[in-house]
Amino acid sequence: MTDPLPQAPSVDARVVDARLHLLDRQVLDVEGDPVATVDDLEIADLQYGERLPDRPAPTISALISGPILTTRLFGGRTPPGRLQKIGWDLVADLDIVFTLEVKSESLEVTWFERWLASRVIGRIPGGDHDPE
Amino acid sequence: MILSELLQLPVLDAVGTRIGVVTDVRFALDHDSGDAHMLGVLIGRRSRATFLGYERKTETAPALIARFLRWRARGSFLVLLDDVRSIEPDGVRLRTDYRRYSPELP
Repeated sequence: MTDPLPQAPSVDARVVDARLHLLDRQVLDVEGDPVATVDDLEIADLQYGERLPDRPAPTISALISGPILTTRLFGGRTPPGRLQKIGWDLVADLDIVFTLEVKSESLEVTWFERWLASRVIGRIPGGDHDPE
Repeated sequence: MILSELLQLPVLDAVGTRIGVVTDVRFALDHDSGDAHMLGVLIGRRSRATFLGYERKTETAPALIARFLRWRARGSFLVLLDDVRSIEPDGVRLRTDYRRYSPELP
């Protein structure tokens, strides 16, 4: 039987694993309304071929939401233009869900929902106000 | 770079021998600034991905599932970012004297 591996040096920070703790989490806005789910993460300034010991540790710069289910199942890459980003600086809290410090209306990621509400749902009789 | 470009990349040691694949990436969330700094990569030796992360936690219930999933992810380890030489399109290359750490979360 091999010796157990040593524990990594402790850090004065909350430690999370991206796939285990961050991907597929729901994102809520400041009022608790659902915005998106986290499909991927953007890692700032990390390029292929870069020597990592020569630079500061890369950081997460954005949450990414987009149609990536097919690429997860079958491989390939979603065109960057179809991925919507939510800046990491807008994240107010991370628990079971991500909570943002802004309202969903201010985010690019909700443009389709807003377009649908104003152009389609809002034109249906009774569709422009909350149910009574 | 986006995370999915890094996940499942082969991991090669200094002489180019394949030692596993990237199954996850560990980050440290700074209490004050909230920034998430990359700490290292988790490497699986037998499976391309781990399920529920039992090999990284102390939870042991339900016992049968926990034991099976730990066994399935046996041989996983953490390599800190200081020991990663570079990330290339064909794999993550480690330094000659890289150290293996337990994948368990603190």
